[in-house]
Amino acid sequence: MANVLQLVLNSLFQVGVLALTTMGMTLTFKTVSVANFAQAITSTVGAFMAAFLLRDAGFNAWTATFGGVAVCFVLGYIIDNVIIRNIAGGSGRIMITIGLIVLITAAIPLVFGLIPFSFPRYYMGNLNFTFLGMELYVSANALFVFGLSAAVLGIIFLALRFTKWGLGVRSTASNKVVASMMGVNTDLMTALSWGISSACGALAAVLYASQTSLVSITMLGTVLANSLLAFIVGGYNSFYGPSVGAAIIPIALVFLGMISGLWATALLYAIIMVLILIKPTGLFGTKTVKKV
Amino acid sequence: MTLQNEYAELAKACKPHYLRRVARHPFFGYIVLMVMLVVVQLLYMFTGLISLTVSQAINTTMILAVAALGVGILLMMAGLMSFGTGAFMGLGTFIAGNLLKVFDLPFVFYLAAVALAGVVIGVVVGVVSLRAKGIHLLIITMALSGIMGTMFVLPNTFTGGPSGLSGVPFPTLIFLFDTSRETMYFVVLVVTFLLIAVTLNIINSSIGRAMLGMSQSESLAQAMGIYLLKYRVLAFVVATVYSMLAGALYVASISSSSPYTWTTALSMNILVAVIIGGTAKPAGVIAGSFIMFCLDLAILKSIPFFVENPTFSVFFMGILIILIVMKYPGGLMWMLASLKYRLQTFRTMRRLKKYGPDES
Repeated sequence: MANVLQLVLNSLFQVGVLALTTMGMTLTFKTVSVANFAQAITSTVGAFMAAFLLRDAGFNAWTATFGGVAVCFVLGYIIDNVIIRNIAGGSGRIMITIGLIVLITAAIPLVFGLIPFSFPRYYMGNLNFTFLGMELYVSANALFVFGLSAAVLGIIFLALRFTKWGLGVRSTASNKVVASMMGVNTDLMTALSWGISSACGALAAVLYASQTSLVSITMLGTVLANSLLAFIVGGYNSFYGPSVGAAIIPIALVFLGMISGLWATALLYAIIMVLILIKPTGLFGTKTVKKV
Repeated sequence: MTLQNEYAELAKACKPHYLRRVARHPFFGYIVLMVMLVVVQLLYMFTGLISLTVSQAINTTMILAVAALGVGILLMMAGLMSFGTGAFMGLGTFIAGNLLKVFDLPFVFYLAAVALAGVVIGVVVGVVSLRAKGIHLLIITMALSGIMGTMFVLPNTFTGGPSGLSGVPFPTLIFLFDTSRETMYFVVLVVTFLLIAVTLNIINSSIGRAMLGMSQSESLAQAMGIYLLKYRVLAFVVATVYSMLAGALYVASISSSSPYTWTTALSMNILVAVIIGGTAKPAGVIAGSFIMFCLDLAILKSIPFFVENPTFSVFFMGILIILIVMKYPGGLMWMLASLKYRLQTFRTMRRLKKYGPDES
């Protein structure tokens, strides 16, 4: 039992990172209705930028993180303004995100050079504590990653609920044409959503890098796949569903890993396939009625 | 002279010239392309004008184009987007590779065996994913290819574990001719051409029309009497068989197969090739495949600038993809059509300027 709880605590930082990435995914999907496969690679740009600022420009870890996130916000804003907005919907937009993967994957070594980067932990050491008579520990950095992600997600949820931006995003998500007729600047809303989703992704990437101390182009590959799964499992009709899905998946992976370490991912995929077939709307989704 | 005779004379007079009729045959362009590619390979084999890189790039492109043809039917005709292509290609390589290692039969038998396996798997996938559409289908096929990828890497004798399958012998053709790396190129071309013909027939048959109707509106198609399950399963069967045949061609011409090749990234690239092409018609799919898989290796690598900076060629590819999808969402074929239209308008305008407006 102590062993299981320890494994769950070890996957705490993955929950945080996955929840942030999935939030970014949800924002873009709801406003532009495109599954953003480039989410991982744009986030990686943020991690590279932060590591670059830390190593070569002499910033400290906090300002470097902020710099990376800010650069990614601008990047996302530009991507929507220049590329995504000018494409008619449909499969073209998904293809654009795949094109962006190719483009940015090639651009990162051109901009940041080929010397590998690393990112330090914000906090060193472990926290030891006893819970119901069990000796457990959690890495201070992982706890910080989880807390920061939860805080950022909380702020985004509150903003979606109570601010004018949130109202705009929700109305754009429910019906873009009607929203623009009602005086919502939908272009600004989608661009801001792209910016914020990229910024969320960049924060997730930097936090991930701080925990694994590794910055590479392929670092977020599994996170992207898992966030797509979380996105579907939670149900993308609501804003909070995907976040719940993001909390479920790493913990499910822990339990499946106890059955068989080799087959954990394959088992997760199989379970999710069955889940999609039984309930395509996800755990928290509602069925959308479509006119013929 | 009766009226009928007069009509017959008229029809005879209006009949296009023989050569023009040949040029209008639907297969004409593909035959020209195949002849050109054969000439390229002959130039490589007997003179040194074409390098090995170019020949192998064209070979791989044609193999991937076979898979892309199937994806084209699945995406452009039936409107279904799948990430399973790469994994199915991998399965095809492993089945064909193991058969090639054990039996010494004409190549056609391997292709038939692989196609049969493709039919079975296509039916299963098609039935299972009947309820899923759009992003759900993407996720299901992604999960499927993830599961298959895990199975490929597991240590076993079928796929050879993480190191993959290697040392697969080249197949024989009709008991007589042994093939080699060079002659497999021609076999790949022939199979590709046959599959192009099959694709053209599928597109123009009632199956193709039914699929097109299904992709426009499922409810409407159902109301018109199209049995959705049948055509969806058919689309999946076609795509799976094509990708597994592509796998068989791959392992027969490259004689090895690594499990790490058959990822979702490959499926994404094939999808991009189809979208760049812009239509289910083989012309578009093959043009897209050439831009996606051949341009980088065969043409850009012969320009000194890109040889010195290899990452720039990938960068250039990314920009090219984005520009094509942005400027011509209908793909390369639409681009050609719009260029043709512009040329025609230009000619008309010039004629009007020179000779004035028509008398009538």
